Amino acid sequence: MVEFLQFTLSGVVFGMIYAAIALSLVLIWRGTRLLNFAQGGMAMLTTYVAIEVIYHTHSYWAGFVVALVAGLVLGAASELTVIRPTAGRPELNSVIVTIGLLILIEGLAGIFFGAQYRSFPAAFSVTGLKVGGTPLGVSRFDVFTAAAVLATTLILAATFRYTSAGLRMRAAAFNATIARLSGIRVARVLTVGWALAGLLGALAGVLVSPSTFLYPNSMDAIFVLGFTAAVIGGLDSPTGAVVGGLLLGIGLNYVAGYWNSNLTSLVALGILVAVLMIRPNGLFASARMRRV
Amino acid sequence: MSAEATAASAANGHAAALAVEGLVAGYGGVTALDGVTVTAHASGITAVLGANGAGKTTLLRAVSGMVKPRRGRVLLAGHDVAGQSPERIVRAGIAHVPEGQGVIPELTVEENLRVGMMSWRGKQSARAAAMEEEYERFKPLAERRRKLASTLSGGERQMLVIARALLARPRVLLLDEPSLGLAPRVMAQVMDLVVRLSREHGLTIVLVEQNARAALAIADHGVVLNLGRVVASADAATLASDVALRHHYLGF
Amino acid sequence: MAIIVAVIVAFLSIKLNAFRDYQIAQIAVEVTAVAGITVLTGLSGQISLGHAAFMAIGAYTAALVLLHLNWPFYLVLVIAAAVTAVAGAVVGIAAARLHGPYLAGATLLLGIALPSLALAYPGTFGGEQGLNVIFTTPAFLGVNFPPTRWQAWVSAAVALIVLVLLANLTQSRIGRNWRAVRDNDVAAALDGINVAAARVRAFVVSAACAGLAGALLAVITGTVAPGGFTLTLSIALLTAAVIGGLGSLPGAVWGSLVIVLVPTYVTDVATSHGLSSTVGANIPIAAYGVVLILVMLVFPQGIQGGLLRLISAFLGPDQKSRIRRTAPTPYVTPSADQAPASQHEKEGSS
Repeated sequence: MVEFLQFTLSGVVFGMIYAAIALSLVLIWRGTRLLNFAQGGMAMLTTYVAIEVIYHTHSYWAGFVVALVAGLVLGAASELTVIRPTAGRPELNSVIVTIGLLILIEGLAGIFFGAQYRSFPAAFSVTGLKVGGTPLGVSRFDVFTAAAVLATTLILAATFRYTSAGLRMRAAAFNATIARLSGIRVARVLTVGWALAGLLGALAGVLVSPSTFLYPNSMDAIFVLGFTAAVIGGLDSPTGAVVGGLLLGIGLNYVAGYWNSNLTSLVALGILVAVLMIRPNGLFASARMRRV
Repeated sequence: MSAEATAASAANGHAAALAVEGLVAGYGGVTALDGVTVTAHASGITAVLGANGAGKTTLLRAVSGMVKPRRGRVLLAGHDVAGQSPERIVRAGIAHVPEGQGVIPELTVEENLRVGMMSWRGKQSARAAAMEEEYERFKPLAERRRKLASTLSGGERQMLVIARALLARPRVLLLDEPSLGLAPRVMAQVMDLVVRLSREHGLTIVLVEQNARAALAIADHGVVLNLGRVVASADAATLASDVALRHHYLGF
Repeated sequence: MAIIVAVIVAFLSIKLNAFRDYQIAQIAVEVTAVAGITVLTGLSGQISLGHAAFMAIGAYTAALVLLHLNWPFYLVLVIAAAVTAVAGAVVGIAAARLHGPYLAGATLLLGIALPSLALAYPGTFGGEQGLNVIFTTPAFLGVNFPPTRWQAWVSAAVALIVLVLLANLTQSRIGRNWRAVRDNDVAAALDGINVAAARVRAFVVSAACAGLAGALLAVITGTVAPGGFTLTLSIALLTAAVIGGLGSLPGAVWGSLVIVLVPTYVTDVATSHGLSSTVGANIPIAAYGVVLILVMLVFPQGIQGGLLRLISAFLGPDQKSRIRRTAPTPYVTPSADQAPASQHEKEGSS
């Protein structure tokens, strides 16, 4: 029973990381109908930037903030330079372009930062928490991780719902034509969407790197699982991204704990295929299909 | 016509609020507009008529910036706005209500209206008042302001769409088949509304309509397109009484 | 044509040293695998970001058969191809209804997940260290015949056979069906083409190619381990296909040449200039990224397309049209004069 609790709680933490990546993918998907395969790579790069800042300033929080800002910048820059020209072209092109971006970033990381595994500090203690002598399976840092992702998600949700900027983004995502005819600069909105996605990715990067170590390919697996979470929840649905992330995180943790930790990605594959077979648009797909 | 001359004759109220000159536009290899010249007089209703494929929708799109013209000019009170982006053209004063799509169903009525005000250039404090004005004009919308636009009926959606376009405070309003899919009684209400917008508010209206009879009934001036060219341009009464023209190009 | 190439390869292999033999073998392996991707992505329009998984299946099958059954090599190759083909069918069936980004993501996950099977069952698959593959040259060649040369000849022969077979397939009705499905699956279905079957068939063929390549790789490198079938490999295969010209079999050759020869060359240059080998190893990776982006944005037809354009610049109009018919069909039409901004627009009908 204690084991179950531990697996569940630590699963929640992983789930929040996947949710962060899933959210960033959903954000970009809703705005541009593209899947950003470079999202993991971008998160890895911003984490490298953070570690350099931390190394030189001896301040974790300076690195944290810089990583988030770098995420905004990297996201916006990618959209402006590489993605904008693919608008209106076949899907395959943008898939290949984002893959190209991914390996370009990974190559550059290898060149400038080296290939060795680097350790990344955690904001808070990583010793397990106990309640009345029972270990919970999560640490203070884990709680911070979950809380940080949750807070960011809620802030973003509130922004979308209640601000004009958020309305612009939603209008542009639902119907770009009407948005443009109403004077919304859709191109600018897309760039902001990519920037926010970059921020989410950067957040996921600094939160997960203490456990995975940092190296050019460190975010590959996380990205893929984040993608799986996004698909499970429905690429159009931010709620779906969070729920999908949690379900996947908890579920895979049970697999790792009770069965075989090397089988998690295969189980994830099975879940992905199952969901795509039964509900190709995800669990939270709206009944009304978007016109494309 | 020079800018000064246009401005001068604008003062007379007979001038063109919107003048399209020699417009050539199309999609890919297809040329949908082949040198179209249309003049929409200020505060009047100009009907654009013709069969399917004649180029009517393309004309509106080229004016509002959704399609970039290959040649020609689009003069809004003397300034050429051809080729500018839709966002800029809206701010210049041309509002386009496209065919078939108008409301964003995933947003509430109020949010749809707020979208219409995205190009608002007036004082911020005046925005709320402007919205209230539209709610006054369209009572059913006021009753449903917090509801999703997907719950509106066809006629209510058309009202919402026009209200939103009006909130952009345009000088010229382009309407593409506003009566499409509406019951006859609702269609009459919409046509009524169009007339009031022109007479009471001085809006210049360009109306594309498949239902030529209804359009000519309210229009001041009419233009008939066929295969991307203007084949007739006259005041509405003349067009309506030209039986041969009506049979050939308009189907009645 | 193939015979000429075979003779050239044999000649080169005798003239050059063992390391070059190894490279020839490597190139041949890549060509076999990339040709499969060319068919899958270029012809039938389905993207796979995890093709290294199929190579792994072929490689492990070959290793296991050699280890436990010690059957003759050509039989091992056939079995590896067959097993991987079955896997390709399974994946193809699952993927038949997926398209675009969904398919890409699913195959990406496949590429990452499958090798971990080896780690999950280390007893059978050798875990992280993998399995060793023992390979002996046939007796009839004599004791002094270098094994690397034999490997180069076998690999090159397999690659050539595969290319010829695929070329025939491309010209056949099956190939035409693939292209039809790629361009417009709704129209293809209306034409009576079984879209799902065509898609699965493409996966089976490309998986078999990758399986063959994997089996060859196992023999050439002597080991199979999960670390040899990474995401980087999958993407390298795709890069080779894109560089060469998606949909073009000669392009598969150009692309493979690039991804095998360029990294070695670049690493050499880098280390001779004092840069670390890590930097040298990563420069090609970054370069592939740039190339993928540029090719998609600027040169959709890759090397093969560029060459054809160059050649046709020197020819008369009859020759030009013949060239145009064999050119890799680019995935984007360069003259795209797209209709208005949003995908929501209906084409103007009035």
